[in-house]
Amino acid sequence: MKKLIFLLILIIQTACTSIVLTPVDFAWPIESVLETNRNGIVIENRYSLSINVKPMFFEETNDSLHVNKKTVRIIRNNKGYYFFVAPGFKNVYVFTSDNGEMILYNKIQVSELGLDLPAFNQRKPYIELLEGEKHLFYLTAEGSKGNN
Amino acid sequence: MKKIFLIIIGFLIFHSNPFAQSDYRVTQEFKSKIRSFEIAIEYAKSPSELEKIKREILEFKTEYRGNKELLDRALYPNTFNSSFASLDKKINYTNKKLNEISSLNEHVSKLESDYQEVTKQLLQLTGEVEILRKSNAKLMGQLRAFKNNYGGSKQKIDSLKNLISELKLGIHKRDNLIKEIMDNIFVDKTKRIENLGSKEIKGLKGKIQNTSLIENIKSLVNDNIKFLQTNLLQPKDFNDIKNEFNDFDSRWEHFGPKLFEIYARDESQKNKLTEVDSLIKSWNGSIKLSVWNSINELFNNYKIKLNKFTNGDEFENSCISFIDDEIKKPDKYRKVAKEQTYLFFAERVWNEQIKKDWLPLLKDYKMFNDFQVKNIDAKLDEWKSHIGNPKSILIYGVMVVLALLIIGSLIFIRKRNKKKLESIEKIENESQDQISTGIDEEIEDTDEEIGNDNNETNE
Repeated sequence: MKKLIFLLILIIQTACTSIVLTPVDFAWPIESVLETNRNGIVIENRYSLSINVKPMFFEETNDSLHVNKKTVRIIRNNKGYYFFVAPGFKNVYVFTSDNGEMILYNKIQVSELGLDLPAFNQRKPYIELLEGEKHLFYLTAEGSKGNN
Repeated sequence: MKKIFLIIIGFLIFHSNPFAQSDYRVTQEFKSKIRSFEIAIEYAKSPSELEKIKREILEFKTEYRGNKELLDRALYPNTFNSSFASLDKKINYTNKKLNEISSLNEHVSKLESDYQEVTKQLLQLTGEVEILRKSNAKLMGQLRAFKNNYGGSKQKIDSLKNLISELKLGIHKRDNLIKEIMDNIFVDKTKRIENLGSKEIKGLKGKIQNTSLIENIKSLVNDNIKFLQTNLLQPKDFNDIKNEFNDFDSRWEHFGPKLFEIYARDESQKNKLTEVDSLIKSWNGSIKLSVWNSINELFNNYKIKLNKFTNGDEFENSCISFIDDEIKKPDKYRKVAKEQTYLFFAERVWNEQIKKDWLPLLKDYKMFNDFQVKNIDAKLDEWKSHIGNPKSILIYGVMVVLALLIIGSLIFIRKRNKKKLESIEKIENESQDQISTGIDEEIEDTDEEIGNDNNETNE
């Protein structure tokens, strides 16, 4: 009887096991530089992606009204995390996508006064953050890996 | 050990270079540069300029080769190489285009030089036309004056013939010049006017105006008509004139509609063209009319007045009617005059001129036929049988000469007798003087002498 129950459990467990594809590289080769529309939405045609970034701007500036024509720079690392930054931001926002939503995974402070010319580079396994032509940090979803 | 070494190198690379470049910026710069090359290629004006761009592209490619991996990914769906392949393609296309343009430019240069040459020729031709127009007008005037005083002397006839051939040559020369002008103006005869641009139309109008083409054509046709109206032309002249007309008419059929199209919106010029068109039609009509008038003139030269005729049937009727009238003339008319009219009509005009010189022409242009010729011949036979065998005009001439000789001899003899009588009277007067002096013997001698002379005269 015990054997029978064990066999049954084994069969059920096998049937319920999800398939895992690995390895996966989600990295975008280059950051996308996008402009918000009047509703605070940015659209990335290459990846067929459109995101409402108003809550992020509200989080950073406490202003969700003046979001029209704001530049947002987005890049995705190899793990699949999305990194967001915009001129004037003091933080880099890290999101994960889930069930049709972008969920904040981490907020990494990168500047005391805000960045003037932020830019991302894909440097696997990191995301490089630049200020103009100046290297600032290598970032992971968990935080910065060091600065100059 | 090797692994540690690589980690150290990687660390150094990561941390030793505070200056970095945004991949996005590199990509954008690359794209922007590629776009600027595309524009430069598109606007290149010469193969040498294109060659310069090609060299710059090569340098650019070398400069960005280090970013190839990044660009291959960033430029998706394009790649680093495909971007340059696209530029190469554009260069080849533009090169081909430039070569075509260069060849077209050569063609345009040639056309421009041809145009200048044609314009020069046109001016020259227009000048020549004007000179010939004046010369022809002068000749026409002379011909009219000559015709009014036209007599029968050989010298005058020769002068008239020379005048006609000179005028004919002048008109022919001018016609040819005008035809040449038309050919030059419409250099590309196959090109349709509706396909020409406004600039080309303007150019054509300028040429037409500068050469007074329409006025010249009008005057050409008018002069030809006037020339025909002189009614002094020979069959050969008509052949030339008919050829001239056919040649001009075929040209007009080609160029006339083009001229009408050019001046489709210019009522005044259109009216002139309509006038030219109707003049050309009347030129053709004048040729036939002039043939009949010239034939009539042949009869007129022998004082034979035929009823007016303007075609073959009328001519036939006119001849037959004249002959009938002559046959019906009462006998009170002198037979000699009747015979003379017959000889002039039948021999001098009908047989020697019309049948010999004019009939081939009349038949060629289907203006007269053999049946009509036979009718007139038959009528002439009837006329001949009516008047009997007419004597040659030579016989009449010989008779007249003989009569004149006889009359002359008589006058001469009379004059001689008169002179002798006068000398006798003179002698008688002298004798009376001598009588008074009593020389009787001498008086007797003189009487004897007078008596002898009288006898001779009587004899």
